This record gives sequence, C-alpha cells and structure tokens, in this order.
Amino acid sequence: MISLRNLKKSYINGANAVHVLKGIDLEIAKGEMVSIIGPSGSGKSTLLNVLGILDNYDEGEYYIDDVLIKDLSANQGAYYRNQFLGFVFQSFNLLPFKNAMENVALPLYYRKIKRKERNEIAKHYLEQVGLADRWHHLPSELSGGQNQRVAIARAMANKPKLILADEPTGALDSKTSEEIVSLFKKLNQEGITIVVVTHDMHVAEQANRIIRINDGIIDHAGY
Amino acid sequence: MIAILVSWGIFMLVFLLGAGKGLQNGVERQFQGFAKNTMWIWTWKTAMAYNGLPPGRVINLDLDDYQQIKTKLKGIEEITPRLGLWGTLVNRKEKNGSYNVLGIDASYFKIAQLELLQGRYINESDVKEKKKTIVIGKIVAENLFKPDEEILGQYLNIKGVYFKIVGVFASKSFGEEAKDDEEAIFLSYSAVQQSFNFGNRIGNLIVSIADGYDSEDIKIEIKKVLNANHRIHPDDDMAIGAWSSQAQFKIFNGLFMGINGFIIFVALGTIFAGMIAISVIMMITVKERTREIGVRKALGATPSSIVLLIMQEALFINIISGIFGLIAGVFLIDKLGQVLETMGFENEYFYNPEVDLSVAVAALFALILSGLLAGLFPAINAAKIKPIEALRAD
Repeated sequence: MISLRNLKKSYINGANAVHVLKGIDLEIAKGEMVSIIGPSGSGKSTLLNVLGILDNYDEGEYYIDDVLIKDLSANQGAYYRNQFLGFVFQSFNLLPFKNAMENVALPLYYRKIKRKERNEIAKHYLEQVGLADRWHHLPSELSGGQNQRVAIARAMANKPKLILADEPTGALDSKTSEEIVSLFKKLNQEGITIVVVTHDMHVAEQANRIIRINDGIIDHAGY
Repeated sequence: MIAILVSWGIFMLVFLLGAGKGLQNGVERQFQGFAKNTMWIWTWKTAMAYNGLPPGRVINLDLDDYQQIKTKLKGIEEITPRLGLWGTLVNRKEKNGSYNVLGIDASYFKIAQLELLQGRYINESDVKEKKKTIVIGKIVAENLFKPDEEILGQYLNIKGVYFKIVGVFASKSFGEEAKDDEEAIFLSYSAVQQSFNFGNRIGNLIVSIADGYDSEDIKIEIKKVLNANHRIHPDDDMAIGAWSSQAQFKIFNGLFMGINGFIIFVALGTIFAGMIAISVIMMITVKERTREIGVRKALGATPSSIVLLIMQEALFINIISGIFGLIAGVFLIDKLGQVLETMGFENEYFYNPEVDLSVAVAALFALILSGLLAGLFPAINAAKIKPIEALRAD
C-alpha cells in the first residue's frame, strides 16, 4: 500500500548539500504495524515528514495506494493529508481551547462535514479509545495519556489509510506508554495500518516489523 | 488593547465630526439675522487728497446716492437707508428707556429677518408722507407697556417729538443679535430726516443682492458711484466701507472645510494607527499560534482556509470594537446636545451638534476595510507556516 522507491532528499546548508535520505526503498502492506527506529540525525524524522506529506523529496517515488505523491501544491498536499493520513504527535498537539470532541472533529471540519454529523463521528471515536464520558473536557483537564488517546481518536476520525505516530509515548510515563501501545495494537488488529517512529525499543518491539534507518539508508528491515 | 484603539479611533471620528457640525450649525445660525446675501455700506473720512480737495473730509451719504444706486445699478434686489439715532432716550408717560431709533425704507423689512407680532410694518406711504409712525421691538414694548396694555395707537416721545405705534415685531435671530433687534424702534427715514434735522443725509445703506450676482462686483459698482458723487480718490479705502455677508460666509465656509479636513485627518490617523496595531498584534498572535496553525494544516487545512481564519478574527475584533466606538460617539454627541439644551446653554457659536447617517456609515465602512487590511499581512504570514516547523517537538 505504501511504496517508497529510491527516495532521496538533501538540504542545502550554505555551500554544501547535506544528503539526508540517500535512497530509501520501503514497502508497507495494508494492515501492518511498522516501527521505524534510528539514532538522531539518521534521517528518521525527514522520512516521517515525507511520509506525512509535510515535506517534499528530490528524487524517487512515493505512492499511497498507487497515488504518486510528488511535487504537490499546498492545496493538493492538504487534500491528501486529510484523505489518507492521521497524525499522532509526541506532544499531542491538541487545540487547547477546544474540548475533546471538537478536537477529534477537526479533520472532519476540513472535509466540510456538517457540525452535527462530525460531532457524532467524533464521539464514536472517543468511545473507541475509551473516553466516551470525557468528550466535553478541555485538553488541560485531561491527563497526558488521555490527551494522547484523544489525539489517536482524532487521527482515526477521517478513516485514514495510514496513521503516522511520531514518538507517541515520548511524553508519557512507562505505565501510560504501555496503555497507548496496547491501544495501537488493538487498532492494528482491527485492520488499521500504523507507522510508529520511536527510539524506545520496548515500543518498537511491539510492531510486526522494525525498520532501522542509519545515515540516510535502511540498514535493517527485518521482522 | 487593539479593540480600545479602534474604538477610540471611531469614537474620535464620530465625536469630532459631530462637534464640528455643531460649530457649523452655530455659525450658520448667526447669519440668519439677515437674508444670506446682504451688504452694509457706510462712510467715514477721506484718506487721500483728490481733485484739489484735502484728505480728512467727512463723507455723508445722501438721498442722491440712494436714488442713483437704487435706479441705476443692476443686481440689487432691495435697498434701504438706515439713519440711526443710537441710544436715544424714549419716554412714555412715567416710563422711559434708551433705544436705537432707526430710520429706514419700507424695503428694510424684506431684508431683515423679523417677525411681525402686532399691527404692521412701516410702508411706502409712511415714507412718502413722512408720517410720524413707528414700529417697536418686543423688548421696547415689554419695557414701556404693562403686559395687558394696548400698544397699537399709543404714542412714544422721542426727543420731544411724538410718534404713533403701528406695529410690534420680534427677531428671528439668536442671542445678542436678537436683543439688538428687539431693542430697536423703526420709522421712515424721511420722518427722521425731517424731525431730527438730518437734511438730505441717509446714514448707512443696506443692500440685498439678487441671485446670480456676486457681492464683490456690486460692491465695486457702488463704490464707483459714490466715489464720483463725493469726489473721492478711486484708491481711497477709508472713505467708503462695505461688509458683505456673502464674503463672510465664504470665509466661514472655508474655515469649516479646514476644520472638517483636520478632524477627518486626525480620525483617519487614529484609525490607521489602530490598523497597524491590529496588524502587529495579529502577527504576534500568529506567532503564538504557529503550532495550532501547523496542526490544522497537518489535518488538512488549505492555505486559504488559514487566511480566512486569521482575517475573520481581525475583522471580528475590528467590527465589535468599532461598533462600540460608533455607538459611544453617537450617544455622547446626542447627550451633549441634550445637556446643552436643558442647561439653557446658549452659545452663539455652538448649536445642535449632530452626526450624519452618512458619516456613521462611512465610519463603519472604513472600519470593515481597515479590519481586512489589518488582517491581511498576518494572515498571509500564517498561511506560509510550514507544518513541519510548527510541529517539531519542543
């Protein structure tokens, strides 16, 4: 479903070009849960940005469900992000002045779904992450683990093809981390494709497959 | 903070324009005493030698001057002499008072803005037959008569000569001018000449100018006639004096345009400052909301929807605070008018401050426009924010 072919990206830093991704080949099948690990500076974050259609790349190809994602305009990028992807971040990135339900409904707002309908959908997903009774709480009134669950519900709300999680347990204690990882596993068993970027081996090991990236290339893509 | 600035700007605009209008209304009212286009002509001493005559000669207008100007010059609607006995003691039975006794032609009443309360004005036959008839101002009547006393047909003793009252009038002017009018006694100039030994002299001339004629042109024509009649040097500015309400009116009009221009300048400046302040504060807001904007973009917000979001906010702040300022301005102007009235505050130069609907609408429009402009740059900045930068974990 996800297919990267000889993907390259470099940044211009003064007179030098820094090659960050030096030819990535990667296939992720539908329903997989994959973790990406690697030391900082390995190109891990850049890869995630490219996967998330948040950044461009120079060479190669990136397909989601046979749609080529390359050289998109700002509007096309916004459209594909909304249609194909769900994001979960280390620091949750919920809007502080909106309650849990409104936060979950936000991707649906950009799909121009009516308020009443999107609120119902949002409540449905909050139920799935076990926060049905907390829909009216603001992020400041919820714990870190609860906030991350709201973020996961938000990532699922628009039925994405792929959920991208960037260090989803980085800001949580180990017990809460366990809960979040179990939630990901549960969602994965329900058929959702998930990519988790982490440097926590405990988290990485929960995935079907660990992909290790080092110095801009994949040096291990084992199971 | 921004809201206060915009409010203040609009408030200033509305309030200053209203106050300016009040000033204008006040001064315009000053001109109601005489028909709009009136001219006074008086004489004094010559300043220059001419035709062998020495300077310092006293010039007096006479009946010939009056007849010539009346019959020969075009563009004169009404003309009347005004021969004054200023501050004359007037007696009636045991009462007396000091009033201005003025000899005029019947046409005076077409120029002056007076209102007849009883009887009639001085007419043509009074003038022709030099009748000893007078009309008196309201204050004269109040001073010399008891409230229920019959006035018409009674006699007043002016410097030993008895005159019969045929009318009572009030002034249409305001303030000091109304008092001057109502403390006057009018009679025909011919009767004044005869009774008080003025011979041929007629005092001043008051002229009203017909539509389509310029008072400056008429003034020059009149001066020509008088200079010739009295052998005055053409460049002598002291011998003949003239004052025209049109010229004065023009000066005031220019003054008001200046004042209004200044008011608009100040108010627009304030609004402009408000706009910049809004812009800057919106920029800061956008900076603070970088993360939110990044999240929204990650979730599928297009650049245009971000622009819209920021613009809406700027517009909202502007309109709410602007309407507040507008209402406060209109309210205060209205209250000011009321308070001035109830306190019986009669200032000659300030009357009925008001705000035009068109001004209010224009202010509102300026507001909406400024809101859009103030929001534009921050909004474009916000749309340029890259989600990766915004979402980078801190």
